[in-house]
This record gives sequence, C-alpha cells and structure tokens, in this order.
Amino acid sequence: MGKKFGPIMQMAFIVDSFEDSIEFWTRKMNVGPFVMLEGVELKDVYYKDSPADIDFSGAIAYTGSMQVELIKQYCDTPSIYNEYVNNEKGPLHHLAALTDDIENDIHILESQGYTNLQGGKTQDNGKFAYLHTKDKKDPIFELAQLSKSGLDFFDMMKDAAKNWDRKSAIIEAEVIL
Amino acid sequence: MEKQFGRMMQMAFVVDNFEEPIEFWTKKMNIGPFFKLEHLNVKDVYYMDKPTNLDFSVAIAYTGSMQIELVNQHCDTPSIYNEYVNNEKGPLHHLCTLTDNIENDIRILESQGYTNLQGGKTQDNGKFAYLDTKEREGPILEIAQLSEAGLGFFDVMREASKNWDKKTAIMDLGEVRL
Repeated sequence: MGKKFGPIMQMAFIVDSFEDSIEFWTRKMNVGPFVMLEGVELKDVYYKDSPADIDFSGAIAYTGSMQVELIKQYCDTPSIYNEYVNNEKGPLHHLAALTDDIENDIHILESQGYTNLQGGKTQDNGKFAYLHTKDKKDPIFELAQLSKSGLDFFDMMKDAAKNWDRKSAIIEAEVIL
Repeated sequence: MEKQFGRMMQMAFVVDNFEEPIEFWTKKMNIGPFFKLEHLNVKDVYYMDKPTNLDFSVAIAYTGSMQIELVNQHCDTPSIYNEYVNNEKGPLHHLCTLTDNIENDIRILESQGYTNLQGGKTQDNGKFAYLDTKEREGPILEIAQLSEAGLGFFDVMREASKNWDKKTAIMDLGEVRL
C-alpha cells in the first residue's frame, strides 16, 4: 500500500509574538483572519521518544486551501519548536498533510529515512506526528489524522478566510463555531 | 485602492541540483510530476535597482492548488537566489501570489515597508517582482501579473498533478492530456 496522505495543506512558522506576526500576515500579505488556539490541550505528547508536556499556542489562517500556522511555545521544554530548529524563528518550520491512516504513512516514511520526532493526540483522539529526514534542507513534515470535528473546524476557518473583511485580524474560535 | 493580489499560490525553494530535490518531493512527499523550465528566457531583469542577467532553471509541481517551485541558478551573478539569502539552500525561499495590477500592489507594499528587490518580464510581457521587508518578517513575496498563456500553462501543470501516476517524476508539457 502506498502512502495515503493528501496535498500539503499547511505551512507553519515559529514566532516570538503573535501580535507582530499577525500584523505582518494580515496587513502586508493579505492573509487572514487568524483564529487563535490558545494553550492547545493535547495528550500523549512525545518528543524524541520521551513523553513531553509542551505549553504552546497556535494561530491559523487560510490562504486559498492552504493554512498558514503560527506557533508560539511558552515554556523551555525541548521540542521541535525550539531546540530542534536551533530556536530559529521566521523560516518555514514544517509542512503538513492530512491522512486517513497515519500508522501506515509513518511506517512507509520511516522506511524512506524519516524519523518520528514528536507527536501526540487531540482530546478527541485525532493523531499527529512530526517526522524529519536527517537532511536539514528537507522541511519537517507533519502528518495528522483528525476527527470529523477537527476537519470541520478547518473547513470553518477556510470559509472565514473567503468571507474575510480584511479588517479583523484575529477572530475567536467561538465566532465561527 | 487595495492590494489586488490573491491567495498564496506558490512556495519556492532554492536548490543545488534538480535530481535530489525532485527525488525527495516525488518519492517522499508524494508531490509531482515536476515540469522543468530550463534556462528561463526572461527579459528586463533587475536586482537591487540594476539591470542584470541571470541564468537559472526552475522545476514546478502542484500539491492541491499550491505550486512547489525549485529554483536552481547556474551562474554566480548576485541575485535574490544566492547572496540575498546568504546562499542558504533548503528553507522556504519565497511565496508567490498573482495579481491583475502589479504596479498598484508594489506601490502599496512599498508604502508598507517593502523594497522591490528583483524582477523582470516574460517574453509575452508577463511581469514579476520580488519584494521583502527590511526586518525579514516573513518569506520574500513574489507578485506576478501573467499573460493568459502563462496562466494556462499553470492550469496544465495543476491538472497533471491530479492525474499523476506517482511514478513519472518529471514530465514535459507535451505529455499532458487535458
């Protein structure tokens, strides 16, 4: 069986401050509105084979069918968001794709030289994993197998971008839910 | 008037050679087929306010509605592909968006702190420009105002990715059936 994942649907950047970054993307790049996911609550999170508890928030906006995700980590716990990328801010951090069978895809990617670096589960048992080849020029790759409600949430954000007034840079998740 | 450009439709990476990156994107990332545009014949090219002549090739594939572009510069002439990014290979180089009014958008972006770094024209007078902010807040932004033929060319490549057999890593335009 081949890999099941679909098109790249997210590009993610690590940021120091949501305020500056969201101002950049909304005012200059015309990408918005951003939906804030504060203190993302995950479970069974691991980093480099050990359980990890990472305090971070995300902000997501759509440009067409592509998500732009901004990630800010609040704690110093080692993760792929800080030490793994030499704390580099700004450059592309990872690309992501959705799949119906994450174990299958991880298995094949590992046979192609990828290491499963970090991952975990959402509260409704969606699964995600960040994988990377040893070669730093390849982007980190996130695979996600989301629940129906997780996928619906993405659709709502995509629609919010289509109908965006280009004024409200940030909208709360409740507004679109 | 507001900026007229649309969604981001391309993410671009600068590469040393095409063979290894195309192997990476097609075999590992399931993205293909790639179309190679060798020694692009563009005109009126500038870099940092001066006319220049760059010898480079690109390879383009679609993932969904997004282009992945690989850029390989063959000469040492300074450009946004080499010295501007400290010759860094691999990380995202730029995002691209299309517009119907490139002069309008460049003017507004300049008023927002962007510098027009490099650009030029295609043979059929499509226009393109690369802009960046001094703070390097985000990826370099390319804006392109393409001819109808240029846009049609992108459609052909996007269709090819939908019907891709996941085997042929590189295709010629003539091989695509619409």
